[in-house]
Amino acid sequence: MSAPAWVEKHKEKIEEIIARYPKKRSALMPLLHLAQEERGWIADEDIEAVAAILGETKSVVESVCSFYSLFYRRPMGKYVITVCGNITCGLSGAQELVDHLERRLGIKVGETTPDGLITLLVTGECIAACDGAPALQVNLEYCGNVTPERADEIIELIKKGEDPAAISDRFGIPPVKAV
Amino acid sequence: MSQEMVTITVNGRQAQVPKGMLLVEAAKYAGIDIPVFCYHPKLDPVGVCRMCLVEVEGQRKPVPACTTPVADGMVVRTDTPVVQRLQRGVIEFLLLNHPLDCPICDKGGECPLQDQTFRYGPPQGRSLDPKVRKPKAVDLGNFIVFDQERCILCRRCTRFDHEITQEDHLVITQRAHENRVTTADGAPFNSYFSGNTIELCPVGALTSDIYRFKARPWDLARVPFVCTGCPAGCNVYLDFRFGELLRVISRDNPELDGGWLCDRGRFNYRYVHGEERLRRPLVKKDGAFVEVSWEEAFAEIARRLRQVRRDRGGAAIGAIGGGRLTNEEAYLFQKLVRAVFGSPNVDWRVGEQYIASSREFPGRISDISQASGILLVDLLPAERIPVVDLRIRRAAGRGRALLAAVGPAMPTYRPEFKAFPAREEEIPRVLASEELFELYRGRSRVVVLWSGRGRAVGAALAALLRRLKEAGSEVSLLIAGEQANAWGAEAMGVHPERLPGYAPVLHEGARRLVEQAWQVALPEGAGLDTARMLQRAAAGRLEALYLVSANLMATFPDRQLVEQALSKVPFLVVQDLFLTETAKHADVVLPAAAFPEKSGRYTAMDGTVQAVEQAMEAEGDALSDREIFARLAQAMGVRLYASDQELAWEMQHLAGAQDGRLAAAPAEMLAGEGEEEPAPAAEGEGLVLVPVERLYAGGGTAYFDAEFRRARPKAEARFHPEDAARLGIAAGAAVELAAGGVSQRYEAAVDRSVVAGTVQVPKGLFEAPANAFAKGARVAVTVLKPVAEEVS
Ligand code: SF4
Ligand code: SF4
Ligand code: FES
Repeated sequence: MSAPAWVEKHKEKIEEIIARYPKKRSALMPLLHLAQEERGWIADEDIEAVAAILGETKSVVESVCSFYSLFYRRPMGKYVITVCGNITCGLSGAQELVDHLERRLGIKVGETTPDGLITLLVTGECIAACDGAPALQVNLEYCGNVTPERADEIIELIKKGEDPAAISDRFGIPPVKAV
Repeated sequence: MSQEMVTITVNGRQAQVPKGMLLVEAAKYAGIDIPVFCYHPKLDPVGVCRMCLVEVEGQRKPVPACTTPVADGMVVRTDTPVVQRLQRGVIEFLLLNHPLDCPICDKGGECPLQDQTFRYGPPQGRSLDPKVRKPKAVDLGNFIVFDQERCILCRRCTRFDHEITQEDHLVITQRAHENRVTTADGAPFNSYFSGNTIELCPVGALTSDIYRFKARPWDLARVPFVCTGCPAGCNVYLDFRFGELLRVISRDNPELDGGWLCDRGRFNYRYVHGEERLRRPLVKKDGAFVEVSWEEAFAEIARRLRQVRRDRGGAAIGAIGGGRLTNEEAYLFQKLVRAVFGSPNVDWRVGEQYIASSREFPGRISDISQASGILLVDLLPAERIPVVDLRIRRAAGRGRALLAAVGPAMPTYRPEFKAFPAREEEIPRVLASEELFELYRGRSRVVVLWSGRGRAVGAALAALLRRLKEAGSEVSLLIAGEQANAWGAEAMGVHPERLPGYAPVLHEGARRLVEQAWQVALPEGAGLDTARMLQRAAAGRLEALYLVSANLMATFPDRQLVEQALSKVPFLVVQDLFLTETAKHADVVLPAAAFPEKSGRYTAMDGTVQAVEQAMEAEGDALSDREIFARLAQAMGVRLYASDQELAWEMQHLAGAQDGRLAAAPAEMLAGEGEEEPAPAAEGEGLVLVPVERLYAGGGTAYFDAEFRRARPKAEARFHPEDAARLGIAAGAAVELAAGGVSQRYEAAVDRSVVAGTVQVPKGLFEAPANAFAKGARVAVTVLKPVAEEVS
């Protein structure tokens, strides 16, 4: 397998990243980030390339990569909606929200809409937005108190190609007011 | 070195312990056991299981004993209600999804999880939810079957694979309840050291494919033994159930094996009971073997050899072998040949190694761990002396030892090492180079490991080591024998120019000493070495050959010569475990005992002598080599030795061990007596063929073991990427290598570690014997099929 394009394209950046650490191995995560930025997800050839760059085995790279649910090992939609599946959101209606999104998008959790626009995910971990439960992220930007109605509006904005940060500005979690 | 000691108190008991020692170890000084799962004394601590939590006075929270170093005055309690609650909690947690299938688990009965649940655990778990189910019989590699449900994620296996072997095949992927041990990249876990993880695993998650479901630990009878797989001399226990050898496990000897075994030593043992073992003596009658009694076999050999001796003289008899025998057997072998056959022609050398030890540069295997410079000469340690290689990896990995390798094939190491690729005939020049000398000059402790091949290399090494010594380094030369007891055989005088104790065979005083001890006249003159015996035999000038555990067809570098010699010699006796390629040529085949079936001493590659006691009855009518020699001598009318005591005395007198070590060969033997073999042809077209050792190859125990055979290497030719590109060879292509009228088929592999301009093929393969090619041959490569079918 020949190396993926980002290896050549970011040659200097890769060297710069590696130079940051006393041990080469420590550059593993930043290189995975780089790979994911380029492709949107991490392919086998990316794992192989990172292993080759760092002189590690593929096993070691895969091991680290698989620990983090935000490293995607398969193609993702342009927008990734990640609903929090932890307890606070669960008690505040996360399941109903997921059911609604599935129906609305016509896909199951883990799938991507046929136009490649939206992927629907549910985390196992808390996303630290309990005050806005049920909460979700659009490409890591937060939206809170997501009722089915608000969810529909979010999807509309996504379809218009709105920037995730802008979506979050409108649907984000209001700061907690001092009492 | 005096170590600073500190005083600690554990459960009210005081103890003096070395400063900085981990609490889990220090508590043992106070007689207190702290339960552990992830901690293992040979691995770096990680503190992931929390089983070892204890209370330390002055600390707010309980601390893990496996990661906490002791400090002076530390007061520790391991028996408080808090600690006990934590222990119960950890066990309950570990058992939450543990299948508890102890009744069918190999580990049951010797399982830390079982034992500690019994001692520290809660009587019952509280979870009512069904347990998480995971795959239960995952094939991880050649020998390891993995039960994911049983795994408690202690990481001992992955840490071993990272810290000790530095191979990083095994890792843990995912997180939380999805955590699992895997090779992640989908490749099989085929480390040469994979079996160690079975012993390290504190539960029955990693099991041996060969031993699986064969026995319960309490039914096993355990015998301490020594591995005879190679001259590393690793210590083992043999586990028997009703007389059947069911398992080989490690027996920690810090000086030799450091507690590890390689997979060849650990898993290549079932041949002992194998169907292919020779169980009766065979005599060839009208071209076919027929089973005969020992009496008949001995009578036939005695008759033929007496006849040769009478008609042509003892010198028309040749005898080869001894590197696989015990010291006692090797001694008796040369005595049989010299005193009973009346022949000076006896040689232990069956391959390319010409010397087994070096008196001038003594050293021990354990020196490698202290070395500041390690030099590998014409040797792939992982393939020949695997467990010794773990020491090399550790020493180089910690960055303390400079590592360099000279030779036609380069080893692979994780740590950086200096590579000096050199064809066999170029090695002396590299050894004599200033560059190499400068590299090691001033290093306090230099250990050289060498294959023992090539007299010119030996001479160049001696010169280099002398220079380094003069420059102030302490230097050792360790020679890794092709066979497990090469050192013993050489020291016992299984050598055409040397009597027991390396006494020169032409030296009058030495001869007299032996003649007095034996009460016979020694045959005249020096004997023929292996190559010359074979040449004579091929030329029709040798009347009889006696081969003992010497499968020359597979091991001798010139297969054609062996074939000619064996077909031509009028009388051939082969003594071995199996009907090898070599044995098939024999007139009489004698079934020898396998390693657990005999007693004696073996000499490791640093001279350490280790005794073993017979652990099982021999299969069929097989006899120990010692007994075969004694009874053959008897059939020829001579008593080879009167009693075990007399034999011991005689050996001690002529070639005695001091302080448990056998003396090494004197300096002049290293410098190379005897004629130099002709330098291999190097010029011309084509790639230079480099036959390399592979741990699982060979025509003997690996081949004739139905349960080990699957791991044998395939006929694979390895090319350097540049050569592969130039010749249009892709990995997986079928290629033909041809030279001098010989051609063989291989599957191509492309490997950066191959020296450009060479092609590597495994030695000792039945289906593609590399020794069929002339030594140092240049081969023409033809691509037969571009790439084997893709497996998608
Ligand atoms: S397989 Fe065994 S040694 Fe490896 S992590 Fe699991 S329990 Fe520990
Ligand atoms: S390294 Fe040699 S002695 Fe040790 S276990 Fe392996 S074969 Fe046996
Ligand atoms: S033994 Fe200390 S945490 Fe596992």
